[in-house]
Amino acid sequence: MPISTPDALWSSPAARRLRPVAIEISGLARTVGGEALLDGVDLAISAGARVLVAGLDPNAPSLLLRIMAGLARADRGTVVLAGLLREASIPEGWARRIGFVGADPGIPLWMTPAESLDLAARLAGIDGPQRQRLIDTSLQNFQLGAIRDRPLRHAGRNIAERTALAAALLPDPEVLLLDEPLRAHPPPDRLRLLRIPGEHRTVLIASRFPAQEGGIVDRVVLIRDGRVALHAPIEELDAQRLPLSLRGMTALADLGLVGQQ
Amino acid sequence: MILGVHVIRQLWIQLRLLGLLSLPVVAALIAVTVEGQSAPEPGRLTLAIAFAVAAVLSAVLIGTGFTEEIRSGAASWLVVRAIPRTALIGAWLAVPSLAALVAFALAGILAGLAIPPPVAQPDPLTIVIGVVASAAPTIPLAALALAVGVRASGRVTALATVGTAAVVAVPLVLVGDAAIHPASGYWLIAGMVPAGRPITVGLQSIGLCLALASVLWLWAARRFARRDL
Repeated sequence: MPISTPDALWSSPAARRLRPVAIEISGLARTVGGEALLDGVDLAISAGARVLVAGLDPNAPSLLLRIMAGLARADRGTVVLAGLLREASIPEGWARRIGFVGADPGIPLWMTPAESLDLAARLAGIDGPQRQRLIDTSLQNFQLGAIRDRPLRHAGRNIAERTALAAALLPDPEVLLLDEPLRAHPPPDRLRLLRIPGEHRTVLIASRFPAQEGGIVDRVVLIRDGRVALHAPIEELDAQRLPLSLRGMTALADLGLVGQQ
Repeated sequence: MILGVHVIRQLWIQLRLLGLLSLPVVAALIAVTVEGQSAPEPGRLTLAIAFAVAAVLSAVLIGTGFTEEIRSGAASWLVVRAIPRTALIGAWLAVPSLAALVAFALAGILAGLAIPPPVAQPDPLTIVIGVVASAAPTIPLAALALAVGVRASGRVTALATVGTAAVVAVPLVLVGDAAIHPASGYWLIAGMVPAGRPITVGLQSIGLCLALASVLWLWAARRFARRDL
């Protein structure tokens, strides 16, 4: 395995101090319909960061996350997540270390929340009594217990979204990729659910509405003309009295804070 | 195993499994009914044609089922859980094809019992091989439908129907030598192969179907690997 598991990793004082890189992207490019949505994206994100990814082209952040998750292909470039390089083949341990939730929950709607979590656990290789314990805890944490055996098609889209997030978190991934998540939820519920637990878990949120992500991210990334135009702590926006919006991030990028880690 | 159960459940919920299981039976029933009215001619050719149509429709059901899996996002949900795309498309070929083969086998045996043989009563081995050989074209047809479905979401039904029908129609048109091609099983069913060689022809046909299915599956998997989900 390229790196150790999170617990082993974080048991080292040196690792805690250095905050290792959880996501490393270099030279990532993808052209869609003749337009270079990603044109040499280079990005390194430390473990434990909560990062908002926005773009002047709203499709670019979503595409970036989908390439990272293995759902879309890149024309060139490499992606390393939690020390795992995903190319044509899937590295061992991927399912337990990387989580992804798309704008569309994707879970077959005939499934119940309990069935979805059970399938997710099985696919992540979680067996034995631990599986049922994790499922029960997850159902409780995401307030799905009362409807655990109700098919998602009868439960509503917000329940499907919540189940998708619960399923992604079930294997306790090191890196969680969220592409426009939980849009069917009212803003307060959404913010509460997106305060993802896990101090060492790295979370990327692709969003078309940066202002809605205030309070759940500590860094911002702006993609402009297919490249990373800004990568900065969110405090930089506050320091420059700029809002958490595309306009604010663009203004900050123009101030020359590109590539701050 | 988990993936196989998932595919079966998807097919069951979409009612496509019911279609796969009932299509050969319906085809056999129609053939037997038509046969009863027109006996002794045209022999069992009617049953062969009915099975060919059922095979095409079965392939279309499989192809559209897989397309629905992609469109609904269920395929991407599985792929982000480290399910290899080749395994996913393999499960969507193997599991429904197996269900179709069982249905074809049952329907073939029932029809074989209902329709009198053209010359002499064949031995049981010939019947079994004939039935399997006539069902086997469903597998390459399904692989073709999957490949079409990977690319052409939305129009998959029409394209898969035309594509798979073309595959079946070619050997039906080229009746001259029915010895070696994927649809030889139809000739076995129709009693048109030379006497004394049905087992050889049947086995050759099954082998050719599996080889063709492998090639088409590889093509489908290659297309699926490059597709954005």
